[in-house]
Amino acid sequence: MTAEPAPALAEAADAVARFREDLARLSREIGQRLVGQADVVEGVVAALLAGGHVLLEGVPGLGKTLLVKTLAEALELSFSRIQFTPDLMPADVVGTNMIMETGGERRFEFQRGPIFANLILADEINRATPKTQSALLEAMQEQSVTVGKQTYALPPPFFVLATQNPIEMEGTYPLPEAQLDRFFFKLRVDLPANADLHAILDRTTGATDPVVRPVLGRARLLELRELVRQVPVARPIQDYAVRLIEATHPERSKVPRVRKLVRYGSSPRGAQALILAAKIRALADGRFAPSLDDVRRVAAPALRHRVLLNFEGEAEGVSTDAVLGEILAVLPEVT
Amino acid sequence: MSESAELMRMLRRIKRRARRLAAIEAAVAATTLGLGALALGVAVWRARGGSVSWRVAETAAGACTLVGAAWGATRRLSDVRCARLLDAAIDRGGKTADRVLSALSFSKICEANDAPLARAALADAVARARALSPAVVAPARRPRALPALAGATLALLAVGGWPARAPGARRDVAVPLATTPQEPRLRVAAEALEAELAELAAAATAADAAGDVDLMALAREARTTLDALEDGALGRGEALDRISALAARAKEATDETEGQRTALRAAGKALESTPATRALGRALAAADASATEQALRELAASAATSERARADVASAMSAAASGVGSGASGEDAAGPGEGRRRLNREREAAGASAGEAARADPSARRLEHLRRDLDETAAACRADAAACAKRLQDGAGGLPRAAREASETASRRRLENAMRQVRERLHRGELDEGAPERRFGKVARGESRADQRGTRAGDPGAPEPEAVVPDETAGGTNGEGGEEIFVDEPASQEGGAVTNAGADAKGAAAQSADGQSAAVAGNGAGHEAGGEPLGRGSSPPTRGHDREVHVRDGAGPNRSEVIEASARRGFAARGYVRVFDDYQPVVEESLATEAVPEGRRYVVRRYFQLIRPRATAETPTPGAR
Repeated sequence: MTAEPAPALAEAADAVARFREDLARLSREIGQRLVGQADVVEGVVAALLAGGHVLLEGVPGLGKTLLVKTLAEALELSFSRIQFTPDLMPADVVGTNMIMETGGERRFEFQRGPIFANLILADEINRATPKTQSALLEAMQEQSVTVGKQTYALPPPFFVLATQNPIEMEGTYPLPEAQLDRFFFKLRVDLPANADLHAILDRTTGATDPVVRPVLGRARLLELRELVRQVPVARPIQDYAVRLIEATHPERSKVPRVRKLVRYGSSPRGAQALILAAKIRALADGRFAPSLDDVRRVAAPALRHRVLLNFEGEAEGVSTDAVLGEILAVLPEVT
Repeated sequence: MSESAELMRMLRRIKRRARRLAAIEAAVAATTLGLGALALGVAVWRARGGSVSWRVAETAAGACTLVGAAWGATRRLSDVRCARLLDAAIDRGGKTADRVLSALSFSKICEANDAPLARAALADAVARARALSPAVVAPARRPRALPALAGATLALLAVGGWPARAPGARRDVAVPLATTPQEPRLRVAAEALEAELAELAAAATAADAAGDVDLMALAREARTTLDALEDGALGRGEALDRISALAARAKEATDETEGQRTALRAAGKALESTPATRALGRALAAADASATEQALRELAASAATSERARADVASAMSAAASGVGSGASGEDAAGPGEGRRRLNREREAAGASAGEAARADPSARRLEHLRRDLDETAAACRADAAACAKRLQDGAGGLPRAAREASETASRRRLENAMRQVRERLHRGELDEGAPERRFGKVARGESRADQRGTRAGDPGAPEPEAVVPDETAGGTNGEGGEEIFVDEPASQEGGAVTNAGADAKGAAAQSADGQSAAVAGNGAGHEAGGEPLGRGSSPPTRGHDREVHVRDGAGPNRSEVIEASARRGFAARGYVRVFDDYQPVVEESLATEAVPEGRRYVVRRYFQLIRPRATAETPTPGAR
């Protein structure tokens, strides 16, 4: 290989540097309003940049809605919040054709539902019926909705942040495995630390309300998404991700606990999530390519909802994070 | 130079460095293993008495080092491994970003694709790696096996006896073979083996009279061994070995003639069934050579004159031959025809192997000769009178010789018994210096006669300088002072007046002159008679002279009185010789026919040896030396 023209390399380096800078600014801006939850913010932003969706699991009052709202403000994106209830219908989500009278003429006009926004907060998604869940999940996968014979494209970027309460399981409709797989990440929102709680109280009980300024436009967000796709992945790193996915399958895994406790392993979507998230981590760190550690760091949020425990695993109260931790501990980095 | 080429050059440098370090590591590990194995081998070798060459050890260790180094240097080291070494050095102290690993992968795709980020990644990795030298990437470190190497070296030096070597002396370290410590010599008092020596002398006399060269040689050798024991020239182990070998040879010799004697008895029995040959049969059955010769002469005379006598002799001889066959096979004499048929059957069945066995076994060979002599005699008598008479006149082949040899059975057995007894006594420690049994022998020989005077069982006031306080659990209550062979009767057994003597002796010791209750060492034999096994007699006072005791029921002392009196005087009374001679054959017969259990035979025989008649002024003992 001959010496690369300096401008091309400089341009690449500059692109990575700007990506890192934009991401830092975005995080800082979110941090103006949202205290703590750095991992959640990082995961949400990564999923947004990868073009995926996030399932947030946590008890109410931990700032899930605030996070999405802040994110929308910082990115200058439209925002909708849908509170899922058992009587919520698909039309309530995607919209419906209504008879409209204009100048004495009646016609059907599609009334867009709340899903037509860039950022959607599907609050307590497991409280809606599977039919309604499916309507949302179809939109998440296809980035469009179909009403009658008409298909309506959803405005990019389309990002769904669904939440579910892990405690109140009565009267809920747990998401089927196939629909869980469509979430890029599943993030756990834990109670903030002591210092963070103090900061929350200081900010929310005072006279002033922090103002979030837009730091990234929609166009820039799409550029960043494009850059993520350009990040190369070395074959050993990709091989590691593939072996990690294989190791989650009981029939292929050499980890005894996986063979004993896991019913189904991750789908290829899990590998996609691993690589994309690793790329974003590398760019966020100012690197040109992801490392093994990047893959390891994103393994839990990318795979925890894709690895299904069997009855024995559930009965023993084993978490998928623990199983993934065992896999990561024994999986050789390079073969 | 492109980034790809530069990256590969750096990786090659790292690889060379890593190979060198791996060679050192492997060399140390291999040397450790080699030295460990060598130490083990040397330890085993030295334990077997071998010597160790240090030159060999050094060569082996050196070879291990070279092999290990070669293996480490030629071991496959991938580019990926070197890239990870570089990555670890670049991100020293933090999480590895795998820049070089990714760049190595991108260097291949950058050639074909336009991937600006991949090229940027490659350039970034090369730029970061360029600042690192191989020594930083793969720093030298102490081999992990170094402590183990030190341990193995010390172990080798320890087992090889390094401290014992002179400085700079490169020579084989020879380990002297372990020497067995000199076995303490066993000195046996002359009188301790008196009985056995007497048996040997008797056997030698008999062998001399009968011309039994084998028995004479055996007796001579046994005598030499016993003399060596008395002279203290043998250790216990060596003495046991020699005595055991002699006993085995004596048994072999006894068995040899025993079979012949059995066969002769069978032949004699067959001959006794015919009046004409009855005298010959009796002579053969008694193994009396002279009587056999005499009977054969008489038969020759009658066969020369009488056709009928000749026919009778032929028939009887034929039957006797069968008897020899059955006797040889260990059967009772059956009918002559049956025995002969059986012998023939066995011979046919055995075929050539029987002949070989007969040739190999002298006893079988002799029996075969005897049978053949009888057969040929029968044939001669069937043929004509002259041949029959001549054959009988010549001893019918070798019947007198066979009788003479068979008569040696008793002598051989005496020698065998003597050897076995010495072996048994050696085992029991009876021949050790100070064995109490020997002291009893002194008493029995009358050598402590002075002590016996004036003492008797139950005399509490009598002085008892040598009284023993016997071990009550070891037979000290039997009056013989703890000799094991006399312990068979429990102390509490009814009628065991024997125990009184020992008990009284104990009492005497306890009430010795100074009144001390401490035991005083005695001779272990006691002073009094061994009780009244046959009932209380008249207890005649004896003073070393034979005295005739008048009792109500007879004109002389009865047997128990004789035994008791003799015991008091060391079994040296003339009358006791006669009494003992009546018992002795019965004892030997009982012992020989297994009427006495094997474990008790020694006890019985030894008992009768101990109470055997001793030499007196008037009647010297035949076996006395």
